[in-house]
Amino acid sequence: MDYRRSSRDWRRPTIVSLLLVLAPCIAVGVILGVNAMVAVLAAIAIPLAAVLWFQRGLRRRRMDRSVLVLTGIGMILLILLLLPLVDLLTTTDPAAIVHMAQDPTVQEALYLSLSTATSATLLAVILGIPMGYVLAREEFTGKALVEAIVDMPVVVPHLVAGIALVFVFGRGGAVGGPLSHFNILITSTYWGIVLAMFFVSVPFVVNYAREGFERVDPRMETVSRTLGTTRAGAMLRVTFPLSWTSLLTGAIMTWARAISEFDTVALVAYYPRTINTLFYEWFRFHGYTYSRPLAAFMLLVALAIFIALRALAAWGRPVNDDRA
Amino acid sequence: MIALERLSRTWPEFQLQDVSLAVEQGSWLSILGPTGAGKTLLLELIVGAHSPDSGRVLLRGIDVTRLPPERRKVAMVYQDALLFPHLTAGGNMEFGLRVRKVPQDERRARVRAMGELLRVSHLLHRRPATLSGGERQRIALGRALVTEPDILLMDEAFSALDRGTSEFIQKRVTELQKEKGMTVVHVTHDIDEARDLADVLAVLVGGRLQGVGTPVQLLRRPPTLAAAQLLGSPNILRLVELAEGEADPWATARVTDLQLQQHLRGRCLDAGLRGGSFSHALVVAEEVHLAPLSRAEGVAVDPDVVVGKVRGIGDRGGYLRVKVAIPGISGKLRVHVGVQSLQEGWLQVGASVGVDLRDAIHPLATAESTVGSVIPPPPLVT
Repeated sequence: MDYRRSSRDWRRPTIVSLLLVLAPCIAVGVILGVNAMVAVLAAIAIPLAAVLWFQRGLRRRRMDRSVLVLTGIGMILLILLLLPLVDLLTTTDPAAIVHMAQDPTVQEALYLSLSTATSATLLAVILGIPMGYVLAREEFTGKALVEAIVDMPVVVPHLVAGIALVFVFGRGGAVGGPLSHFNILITSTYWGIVLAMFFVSVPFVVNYAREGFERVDPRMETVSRTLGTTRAGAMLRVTFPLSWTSLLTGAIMTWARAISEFDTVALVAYYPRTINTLFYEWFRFHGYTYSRPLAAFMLLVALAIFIALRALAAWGRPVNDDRA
Repeated sequence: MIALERLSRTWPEFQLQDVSLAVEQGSWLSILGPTGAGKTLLLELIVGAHSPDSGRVLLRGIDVTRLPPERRKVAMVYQDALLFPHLTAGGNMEFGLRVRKVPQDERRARVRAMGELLRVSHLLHRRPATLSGGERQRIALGRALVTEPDILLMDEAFSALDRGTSEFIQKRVTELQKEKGMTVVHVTHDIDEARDLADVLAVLVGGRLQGVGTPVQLLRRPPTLAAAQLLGSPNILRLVELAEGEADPWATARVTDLQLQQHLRGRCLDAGLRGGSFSHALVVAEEVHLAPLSRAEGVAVDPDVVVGKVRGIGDRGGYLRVKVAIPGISGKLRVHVGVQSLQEGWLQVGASVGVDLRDAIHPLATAESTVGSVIPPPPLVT
């Protein structure tokens, strides 16, 4: 599809230029502190804006002020996004972060977070991809309702979601009650965390999968089936390979959403403690200064994982070429 | 053999109604229709991508209406090729064989042979995105043919191609069809393409079948108004008065003389409209007899011979198209006569001629009336 192609065309130069602007800023920020970083950002942004202005004027005679305004607003947004994170990283003692990383309690909580988020993602993928496929391919009465239900976890306040889950899956709940007779407990267990994470993050899998499947012409599946595959075979051999970037992105977003969830998790399963719960506890009982290295550590871990996953998704992207 | 029995299917925005036809194994059926006639949907009913609300699909004598596409063993080529973009051209062609678990050596050999046949051997390593439209279509055809189907469906498969490529592919497919006894169902909006290729021609307009027969049969005797118009019949006469403010997009000429109207309607009924209503008649251009007026005077009592004036003569290569103005008919009648008529001397622009409509006039069922009453049963072509 053409709009995808064109969006990819601008992506690369934009990323390069962003890196060119941001890399020195961050470097300065790390070395000299936040104030210096803001100064550098301004020092780069103003000449950049001037160059843009000049070029526009040369090319078209009538320069396009709106581009400058948009660029300016974009800069403000970037600063707002980056400032707290860079500040957190630059003003925390690196030795304290390293020390924190070696704490067995932290390691255990981090491992639990990674593990539960992965389980929740797997569960979401298993239950979400078929739903995405149905929503992409079939028309049926009540489809709008199904779509609304799928999107609901996004709008329900997460504390409310947590309470609702406890009422159903707790010991006295409609599902949790009968399960507890078989000694299967959900709340305050590993699976309680998984359930909470799954609940708030599954819409990502469904929606990304759906978008991916919608981009594959259903007639491709017909052709595949005339060549002898079953419907499932057509999905495996044609639809999945052509939409796997979307599926992967959906899984990544789900995972990211799952691992960052605190409210719902804390209500359904405060113990065992995930890294988020641990941080919340330290913050409550020991205060800002004490929990700060942990925050910085969590941020580093999150960034590392996020960058790795984005790189993975970007690496898979060129495969999907639906021009033919 | 393919037989469709009273197939109907309603979509929210479109309806296929009561489609029945049959083709013998090894013959070529072309389905001709304008854009939006439901041609592709009909193919997809045959292939099994949709199931009908009612009616049956029989392939090779077996009812496959409830079978999924993969068990119908029907190959399909779409207009836009629809190659799998994640596979190379060769990978696309190999797809069906791989699914059928054909051993690798045989797979390679068959793909190579098909590649040579369609002159795409040099493209097999390339991705579909790097191929031209004609190349893609050849690969798509190869992908379908390499599995040696005995039924091949083609949805406007030649429409988007340049003339050379299109003729090359048509030639290859007809060769294979003859050689392997393959049944081909080919959907098109191009009347020349349909006429050249088809053993059996079906006309589909607005989700209804408007006629089935050999190209010659249908071109001479289109059973319905819609079919006559689609097939480009030169003379469609309106036999009833226009109402106030009514326009007639179908007719090429209107009979305004009441007596002539009456007479022609009577002729139409004699010519065999079995029930159904009609308001238009076809005058088959080849079957009108023109005669010098001196000869026509002798039979002037015959009400089938009217006197007209030649308004134009055009050489159509092999025959002449004569435009004749007739009192009582608004619009000109087009008559095809042999070139030798010119040499006889009486046929010239401005001359009065006798126009004998006796054998040439046929009723056209209206688009709304049920087609089943006028269409002859599907011919079995061997």
